[in-house]
Formats: sequence, C-alpha cells, structure tokens
Amino acid sequence: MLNKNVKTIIKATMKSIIVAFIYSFLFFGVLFICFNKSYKELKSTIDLISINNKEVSSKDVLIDEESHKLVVYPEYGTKYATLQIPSLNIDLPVFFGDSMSILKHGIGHSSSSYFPGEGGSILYMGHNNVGVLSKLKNIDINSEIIVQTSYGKFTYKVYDHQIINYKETDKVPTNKGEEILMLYTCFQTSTFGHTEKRFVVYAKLENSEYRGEE
Amino acid sequence: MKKVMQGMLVMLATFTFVTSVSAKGNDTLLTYANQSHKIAGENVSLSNGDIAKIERFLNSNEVTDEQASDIIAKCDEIIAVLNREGVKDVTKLSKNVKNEIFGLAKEAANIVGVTLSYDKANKEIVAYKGDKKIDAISLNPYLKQTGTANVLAITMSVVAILGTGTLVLRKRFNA
Repeated sequence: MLNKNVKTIIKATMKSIIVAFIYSFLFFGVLFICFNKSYKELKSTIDLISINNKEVSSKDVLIDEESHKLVVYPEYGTKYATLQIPSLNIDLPVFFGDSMSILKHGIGHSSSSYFPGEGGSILYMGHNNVGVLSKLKNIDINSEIIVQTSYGKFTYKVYDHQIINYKETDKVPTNKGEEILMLYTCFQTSTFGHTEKRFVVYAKLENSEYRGEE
Repeated sequence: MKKVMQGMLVMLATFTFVTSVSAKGNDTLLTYANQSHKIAGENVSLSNGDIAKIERFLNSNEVTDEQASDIIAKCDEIIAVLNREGVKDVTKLSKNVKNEIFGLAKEAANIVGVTLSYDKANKEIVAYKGDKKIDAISLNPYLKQTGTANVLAITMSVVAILGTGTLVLRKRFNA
C-alpha cells in the first residue's frame, strides 16, 4: 500500500516537472521569436554600456619617428587603439593587457606580444558574445583588419584561420621579424559556460601609415 | 619550461622601470634574459613572449650597470632555490618555497622602484611603478577563456526549476 502511494506521488511529481518545463520553454520560445532581434540589440547595448573608454592620449604613447620604435607604451589596462573589420562591421576598442576584467570592456592585447608597427607578432583576443567577436567565425581569407592607434594606422590581410585547443599556445607564437596579427575568441558561440576551443585568425601586415607622415 | 621560469620572469619583467644613465645595463640584462640556465638538470630559457615583455621595458627605460648586476644576482638566487628543490615545475613547489621565490622577485623589483603584488581575482602577478600599472603576468599559461555563458539558458533553467517546484508543492498541499 505504501509502495503504491509512493509510486503515485513520484509519477505525479514527474508529470508536474515535465509540464513545468514544457510551459517554460514554450513561454520563452514565444518571447524569443517575437523579441529576438530586440533582445539581441538590448543585450548588445547592455554589454557595451560598461565599456571603459578611458583613452590614452597620443602624448602618452610615443614613437621614434625615424626608427618607428615605440619608446613610451600605454599604461596596462588602458585603451590605445581600435580594431576594425569592415567586412564584418566590427569596430572595437583595444586595451593593453588581457586580464579577464579587461576583456569585459573590449579587445585585449597580450602583453607577451608586440605592438602594431614593432615588426613582431601581435596577439589580440575578445569574447565571443554579440557586440564583440561573435561574427569572427564568418571572416573570409583576404579580409582586411585595421588597427588604428594614436601613432599610426596598420592594415592587415587575413591569410588563415584555425580552430585550436586553448592549450595549444604554440599555434599563437610570439616571433620577431615578421608582423603577424593573431586574433582569437572562444569557438562554438552557443556553448553554455566554458569551452576548450578557440577560433584564431591570422593576418599579415599589408600597410603602415604613421601619424604625421604624408 | 615557461612555468619553471616564472620566478625569473617576474623579476626580469621589472627591469626597466628606473631611469638611469647607461644603456649598458640594458644590454647586460637582455643578454642574461636570452641565455639558458640549468634548472634541475635541464637547460631552461625564457619564452619569446617573456623576451618581448623585457624588450618592451628596456625600450622605454634604462638601467644602471649596478642595478643590472643586483637584479641578475637575485635571479641567480631564484635559480638556486629551484635547483635546491630539484623541481622544474613551479606549481609543484610548496607554499613556503613559492613565497620565498616571490619574496626574492619583490626584492629585485624594488631595486628598480617597482612593487609586485598578487591579484587574486585575475590570478596574476601585477607590477606597479608608483600608481601606474605597468604589466601583469598571468599564472595561467593557456589561452584566455573568451566564451560567455548563455544568459537566456540560465534564466530559463532557473524559471523552469522554480516553476516545477511551485507546481509540485501546490499538488502536495492540494492532495
């Protein structure tokens, strides 16, 4: 008798749980269909609101005009450039440093890499959410990536992209001698929580225009 | 290999924050940074990323010969500690030894007017010159986590669970 009652309760409880989940998914499904675009715009706006546009004034980043070598670097954690990918309509602030707190505000620049114009590898990264790098996976070979700094404008052309594991740091090497811009974000943008995959774009320097040069 | 050199990296990353008169100290430090050193029976050297940090600092600051010598002496002390422990992986060191190495690194940083501290939230060693943050060295050697949780999925799950609970409780009370 007791077993029969327990079975009845369990059955009723399971039925209630299933009904509750169905109602919840239907409810949010309708909301998503009706307000998807608005939600994306709202989420993107909310994501961007917190961006700290503390800019480093051009006098704070100094470059030797003859050697084009940086002699005064931006303060860690401050914005010193913007990253533009015209083909994807991406225009984002770039901050020196790659702490998780910095990545909340825009593109991070690994301090274990060089700066645009220094002739070495540059490593940038950003979150894969809407308003940052969610569209990066759609980038084409030969697309342009432009980095605008207070000391110059640097144009890179994409020659490769790969999906790598987060432990494969040898796939984003720091080298001197050739200026390669590497930009990565987490792969599988619909992932709930952490992911081990990274989508990396590789681009070679095509053109440099230093400020003050005609 | 990179983990083993983290103690040195912290010190080496603070080399250039003092203005001085001689570029020779800079050359001395850069040469030292590019050398390999024997640690626990293996030749170990800094990564290209670590060298890039050091070059950046040396590009914008100069170090005296005396300061370079003192910093190199501290680096040698750190190497001696690692050899004493016979450990190549810094993460395998005891808390006391890690504190010992960090202490030596802070002494080296002080030579050039830099303070080091540990940022728990970001899990990195942070270098300051005065109130200006100069650099940070992550203790995570891998690529950053640049994914974001699906807020909608979390919200739906929470509501579903709350809704379920409410329905179940209501059934129980009405039964």
